[in-house]
Amino acid sequence: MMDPARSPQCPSVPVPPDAGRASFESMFREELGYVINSLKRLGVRESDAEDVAHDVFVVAYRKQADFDPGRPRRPWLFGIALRVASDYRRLARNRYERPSADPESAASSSDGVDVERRRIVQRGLDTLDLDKRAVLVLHDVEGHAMPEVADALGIPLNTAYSRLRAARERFRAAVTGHASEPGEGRSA
Amino acid sequence: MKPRHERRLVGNASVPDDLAGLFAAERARPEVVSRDVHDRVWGRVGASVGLVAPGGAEGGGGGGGDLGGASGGGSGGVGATSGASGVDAAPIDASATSTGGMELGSVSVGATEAMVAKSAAGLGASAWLASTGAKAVLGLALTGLAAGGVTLARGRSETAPMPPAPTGVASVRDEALARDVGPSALPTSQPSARAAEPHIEAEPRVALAPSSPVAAAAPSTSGSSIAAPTRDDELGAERDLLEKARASLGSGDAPGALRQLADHAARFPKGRMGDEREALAIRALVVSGRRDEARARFDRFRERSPRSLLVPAMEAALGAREDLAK
Repeated sequence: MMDPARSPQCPSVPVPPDAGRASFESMFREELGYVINSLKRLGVRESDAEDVAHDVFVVAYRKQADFDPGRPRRPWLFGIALRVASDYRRLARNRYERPSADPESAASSSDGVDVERRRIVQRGLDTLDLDKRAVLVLHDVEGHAMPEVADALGIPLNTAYSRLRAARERFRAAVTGHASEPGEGRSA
Repeated sequence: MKPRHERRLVGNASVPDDLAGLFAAERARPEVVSRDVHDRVWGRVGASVGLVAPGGAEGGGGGGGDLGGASGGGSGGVGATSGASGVDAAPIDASATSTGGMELGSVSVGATEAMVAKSAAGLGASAWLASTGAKAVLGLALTGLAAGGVTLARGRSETAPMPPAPTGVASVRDEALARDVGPSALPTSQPSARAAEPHIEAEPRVALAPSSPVAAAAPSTSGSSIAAPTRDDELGAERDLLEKARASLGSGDAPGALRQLADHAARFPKGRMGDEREALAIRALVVSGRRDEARARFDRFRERSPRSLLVPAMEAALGAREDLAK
């Protein structure tokens, strides 16, 4: 699969051992799609997703040793993605806008209902600031438990909860046009 | 007020009913990356972190994400900023990659100027390391290899607990680097906040229905969360059934889809994905040429749920010509 004897053109750069290289590559292969999806959920434009995903993996590579293998990997990657997306949005604020057409719609017409729902989700997410957005995505979309969410984002659990609550309210108002919380009474 | 607040704090772990379907759809967003994109990004990442020299190896035709695929955008957009530093860091590359080789400060972050600036500091740290501590790091790196492998394994949370990757030396060196990523990259750095949090035990939910792709990979660290096979499990079961119906419809088996949708309606009369079921049923009916039934079903649905977010999608399905709906 990989050729360790590659890059003979540059003798000053030894080829890393297969294992290390392979492990990072396997993480990359497994998580690139996730990272790109996460970036979209964090408001990175489709056309910039590759660039920003590159940045995420570069940082992930450097931070890899800090990662506690006892913890799930995706929240950790998401935390990195959030920081990179935050910088991206700061720089790109003036030119930032949602893509006019979701390329997904053309690709999978047999999946129309979900595509429609995802479009609605994107619209709702776009109304949230990045901090709330991150909590909502990690918890409600990805399904991570709140302590993990708080950990991944480096915020106190209480803060995570209050952000989640605020995010849901705003999200709901954005996608439904009314701000009540119909689920609340029933879940008691 | 207080009890209500408490209840919410605990109870809001579950996704609200009215949003669950939406989030489930987003959760199901395919994680599909074309080979082109994969190779292109991998080539650039490889160049940026020094796994390959910037603009170095010309990857012939991109063999399955091979590092050599640095062509494309590698030297173009991103490598320009600080990619050259990859050469400096290279000597310890071989020893470092098993734990992640964070001492490779050779980072070029294209889209974010701030990070580029900070990575320069990282480069300084790595240079120091290269001259002084490379051997020590080699040992640590090899020790960490197994742990790193576990980290990177697909079913990360199902793996047996492993000794954490050695970070003692690393964390000191990497302090400067840590700042640009922030606490998110240091998941263990917030123990006090967690410990002081009284509600930490009160997270009862199963994060997701186990059938969902994310749930399969979802963390199981909080084993207590295997509590009750409740609403989230049901949502997963609902979703599975609807997925089958969708697959049937996608493969042209509209009658099969309708059967599965009827099954869904029977099993989950008050299910949370009823809207989605109806939307699928309407499409299936249109595809089958049963436009009148589709229209009638839509009218009934709209009467019941005029504010459903899926009404526009249903209208679109009804508007589609049958031959196009396939």
